[in-house]
Amino acid sequence: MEIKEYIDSGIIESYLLGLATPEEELELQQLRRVFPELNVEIAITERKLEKLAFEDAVEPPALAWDNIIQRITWEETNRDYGRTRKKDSSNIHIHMAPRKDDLITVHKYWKYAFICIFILSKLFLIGAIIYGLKYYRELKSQPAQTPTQQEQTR
Amino acid sequence: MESIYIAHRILPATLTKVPVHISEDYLVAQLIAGDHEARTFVYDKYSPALYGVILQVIPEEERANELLVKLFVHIFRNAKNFTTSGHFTLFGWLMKTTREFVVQAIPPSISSSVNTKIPILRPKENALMLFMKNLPADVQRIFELCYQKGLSQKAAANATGLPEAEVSRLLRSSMVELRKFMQK
Repeated sequence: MEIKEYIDSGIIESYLLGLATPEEELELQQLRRVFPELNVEIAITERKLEKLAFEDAVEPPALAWDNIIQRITWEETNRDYGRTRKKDSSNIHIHMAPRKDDLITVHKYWKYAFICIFILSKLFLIGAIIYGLKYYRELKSQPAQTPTQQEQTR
Repeated sequence: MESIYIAHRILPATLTKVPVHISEDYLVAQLIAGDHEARTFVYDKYSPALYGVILQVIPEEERANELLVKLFVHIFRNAKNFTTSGHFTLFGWLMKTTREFVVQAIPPSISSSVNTKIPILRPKENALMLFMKNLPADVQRIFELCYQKGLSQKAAANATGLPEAEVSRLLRSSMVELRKFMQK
């Protein structure tokens, strides 16, 4: 039978290990719609590979799990602060752990705060220059007046 | 169902003795919902096997750890992809995703310098070594290039000077051998 030959050619193993070319993978995806026995075989092979992979299992360092949780929680807290915190009250993470590189991570809102501060500072600067010049011109236009005279003119 | 996770968390020793079978559909649904206990369960169950797969290609511990972290963050964030991936078991999807991550993470310096032998640090007597030992030399070479060094079939053809069709044939025959190997 043709499909049996196809299965025996190792295409499924190749696909599951990510060794198949895109063309081979496409062919397999198309064929499995037509031949249900291919799906059965894929399921069986997945279980076999699982068994094989567990033979070569290596316990990862405990620190890895902490890092994963830290990154995930950091993201989710940012996304939906209130909900995650309530739901996951058993995990309290302080998101101030220094990163390995020279960068720091701050909340997105700081971006808008910095933009506002920047624009405000420019506005004040422009205002200071305009009114400063105005004041300077006024001083210049009345050079002879003494403070008492100024008071009188007002 | 929640209580199973909790029991596992508190009493990990009992789990190693008594295998707990929970419905994978339920587990996946919880995983997609972002449930913490489901994530813990999946990590505890699958991380050693997937870490082993990473170490087969990336033997440096620090880089392998970093990749494992990235991998699980990706898995937890994109758990819903499993439902559309066409895989039948969660592990099938995890394995495929791990291989994709590993191949992407191989620095080009390693994959281009074909002759540098990557030592597999641990475990020393593993199933992969056992499988590779019995392959014919030319098949073994191609399998090593494609699986352990993460080369595409085309890149392996360039590296060895063999025609692409021949690389494809040799790689496929290694898969046939793997099929037989797993049958045992």
